[in-house]
This record gives sequence, C-alpha cells and structure tokens, in this order.
Amino acid sequence: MSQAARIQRAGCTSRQGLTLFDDSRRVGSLAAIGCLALALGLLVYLTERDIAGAALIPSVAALAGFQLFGALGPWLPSFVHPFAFSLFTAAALSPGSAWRYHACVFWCVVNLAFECGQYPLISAPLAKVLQGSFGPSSTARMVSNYFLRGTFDGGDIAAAVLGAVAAAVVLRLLQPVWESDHAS
Amino acid sequence: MRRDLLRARNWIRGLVLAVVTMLGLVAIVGSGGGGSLGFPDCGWPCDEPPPPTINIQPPYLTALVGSPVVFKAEASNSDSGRLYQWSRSVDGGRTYMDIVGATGPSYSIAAVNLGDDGAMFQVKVPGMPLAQPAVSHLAVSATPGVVYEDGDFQPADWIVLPIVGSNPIRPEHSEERIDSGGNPGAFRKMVFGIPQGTGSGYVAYLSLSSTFDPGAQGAVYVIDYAEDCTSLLRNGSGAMFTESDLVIEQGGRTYLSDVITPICVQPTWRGVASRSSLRAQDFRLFDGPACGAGEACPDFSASGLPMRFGYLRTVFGVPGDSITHGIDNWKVTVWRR
Repeated sequence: MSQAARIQRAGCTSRQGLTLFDDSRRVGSLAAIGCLALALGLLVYLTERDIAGAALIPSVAALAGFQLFGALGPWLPSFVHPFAFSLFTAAALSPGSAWRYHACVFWCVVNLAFECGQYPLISAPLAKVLQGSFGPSSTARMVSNYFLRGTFDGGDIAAAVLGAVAAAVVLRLLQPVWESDHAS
Repeated sequence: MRRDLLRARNWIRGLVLAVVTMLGLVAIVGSGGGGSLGFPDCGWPCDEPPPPTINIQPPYLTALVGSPVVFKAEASNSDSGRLYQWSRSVDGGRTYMDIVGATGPSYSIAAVNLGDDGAMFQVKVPGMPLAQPAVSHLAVSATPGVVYEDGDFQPADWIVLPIVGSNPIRPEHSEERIDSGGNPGAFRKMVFGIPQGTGSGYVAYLSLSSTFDPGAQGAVYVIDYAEDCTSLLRNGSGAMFTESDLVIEQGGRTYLSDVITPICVQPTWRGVASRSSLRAQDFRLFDGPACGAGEACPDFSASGLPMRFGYLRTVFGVPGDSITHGIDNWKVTVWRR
C-alpha cells in the first residue's frame, strides 16, 4: 500500500467513529439492487400466478394474465429470494466483512431447506413435528401449510443456488468500487 | 463518545440483520411455496392439516384385448404410509371387491380381455380417511383403434368449421403452420382477436383427413382424444387463457366434448385436453339443428352418419386483445367393440 493510500485509509478510519453510517452508498446500492430483484419476483406473482386467496398482496386485475417472463416465470421467485436477501444481509454487515459471502451461503441453505421440506415424503411428517413442537400457534400453522401445500420442484433448487451465486458475484464485482469510495 | 457511537452502530447493524432475516423467512413462507401468495386463505380449517387426497392415473383408459394396462396411485397430504389397497367393480361402481395382493402404488393387468371391459378400479390407503375415493375406468376393445393424428398441420388439411349458433361473433383469426418450435417439430399457430363487446372468442377447426363412417367401419364404442397446447403471446391487457376441446361434426351438427377442463395458460407445451374412453353421452350439441326425442346425438351406432373430427379453441381476454396460441400432436382414436 502506498504512503498516500495509507494516509487516505487512516483518514477514513479516523472518520469511522464520527457518524453512524459512513457507507451509505454501499448500503444504498445493495438495498436498491435487492429491492429491484424483489419487485421482479413480485411481478411474477402478480402477472402469472393465481393470487386470489392472498392475504398479503392485493390482486391487480390489470396485471393478471401477462406472460412477461416466459419459461423463466416458474423459477424466477426462487432465484430472486436468495439473491435479494443475500444482498440485504450483506448491506447490514460492516463494510469489508468476510461474512458477506456467508450471507449468500446462509440464504441458499435456508431456501434449499424450505424447498426440500415440501418434498412429499418429508412435508407431512415435518408439519406434524412442527405442530407437535409449537402447538396450534398461528406461526406453526402457517409454516405447516407452507410445507404441506407447497410444491417441491428441482428447478426451484437450481434457481435458489443460482440466486445465491449471483448475489456473491454482485458483491465481488462491487467490492472494489466501494473500497475506492472508502479510500477516496 | 466514539465508543458509544461504535456500540450504537453495532447494535443497529444487529437489529437490521435480525429484521432482514425475519423478513426473508416471512417472504419464503408467504410465497406459498409455488402456490398462491401471502398466507392464502385455507380451503379447510387451517388448524387442521389439509385433507388427504388420492388419484389414479389415468382416470380413463382404453386398451386393446391382449395389451397390458397399468394404473398408478398418487397419494398426497398423508403420512399414513404408502400401503394401498386396490379394488375392482364390475357393476358400474356400486360395489367393489378388494383385489388380493394388490397393495402396491400401481396395479397392472398383463393382458386385458373383454371381461375387463367396463371395469372400474378404486384405490384406498388403509387408515387414510378420504373425502372422495379415486376411481379409474377401463374400456376394452377387441378391434384396434382407428387413429387420426396430425403433428404437421399442413394448412390444406384443416378447415374452419362455420358456427352459426349461440355466439355469432367470431373473433378475427389467423392460422399458420410453423416449421419448428412444436412438441417437437412443426406446429400450428393461431391468433385470435377478442371481439368488441365480448370477453371471449372461439373457432372450430375440422381435419379433412379424419372422416369415420360408422356405416362402413362399424359402430363407435369410445373415443380417445389428446392434444398439446401452448399459450404463446398476448398483445393487450388483462387476463387471458385458452381452452381446447374435441369437436365432432356429424350430419350438420357440431358436438363438443367438454367433460374436462383443458385450460392452457403457459407458454410451454402441455397435454391439456387428453381424455380416453369418451362415450356418446360425453358430447353435447354445440351447433346445428336441435336433436329430436329419442334421436342419438351424436350417433355412435352403425347407422350413424359419417363423422369428422377436429378441435375447438376458445380464448378468454379483454376486447381488442390479440392472443396467440398453438396446437401440436392432435390425435383422435376411434375404438369399436
């Protein structure tokens, strides 16, 4: 590291204690990319899936029935979720933290676990364990319903892995930009 | 001061991480796992597990004497194990007798004979309370089926069947044979424009090479139908989907078999209208003169007039929409006794 860089770095470090958020550009860009991806996933549900019974999302009749995503539509949400939440998690971590890649692994594993829980041979016993462990709580009920009513799909597995890998790639590609921001 | 700020920053980061993790988990469960979104309303009390269901594939099957048949059970929403019990009815489903030793997920007959014709098969999972038992119907013929099929769709082989009855507003439509992109190879692309003042439009097509004459070829017992459908493009706004049904034209009347719900919404090829063992009563008069009392409509007997086969496509959408859809592997099998 050059003397100038050391001085710059030292200056940056000296500023760290002065504000709560001195990496707002990094946080903002990761959150923006994640939100954009989530919006894309939401669009899949609004256009290509039946949300008649949805409690969280209102049905938008003007969007229903559009075939925007072609063959990618069925798996896009499974890609988007680990991608977006890996970026959100990385944004919440301190700048330069090695744990940012662990965030991608974490969300990949979470998505795989939830997908595998929908496998027909697993879903019913799993739901039974959940209801037995947590009783008739609404949370246990909702999670049980997710496993029992969801559809296991190998394509979702592949999409979740790709989503986590894509998030890691984004983090890797943007890291030099933030480091130069930080150093300047 | 600096230490306090660092502590506050770490505390906030930890809080944000917890919130992000919580939201991520909520989003997964709220996605419905590929079904509907956002903790959907339950079709049964949510405090109880969903009702177990069981299906047999295929639900209808037609086979030639001497050929093997296989029925497969598909159980879901049950952890009662996977021990099945198959039973058989020879009186139209009024009573069933357990088949000794038939306790696997599939049941097969190595070579069917005429004694199996009309048999119904039921499967249960011991210990599983079922709202509706799964049943499959077997039809057996001693005569090979007469097959009409088209996976190439030369334009000269098909005509548009005039429909003059209930809905005189026919959509603007065009048809085109596409060399590739079918399932596989060539397929037929159709574009319908939804007429103003309506929410749907349909066009019936007849195959010119699919004439069956009961007088010369024998009485029809049952008909098997299959086709692949794809819903390709929509130029417009609002919801859209495509339906497809088997059509028979006989003596100036058009009959439709809509005993199944053949909805086609995805831009990928799917077998949407497949159904075996269609009998005369599975068709309804769609267009043409009303049937007289006691008249067979359609007439599958040896005195019936020649019949031609085709398909009817119905698209649903917003007036002004232009909807593109495709068909491939159209196949009609006429079985005689």
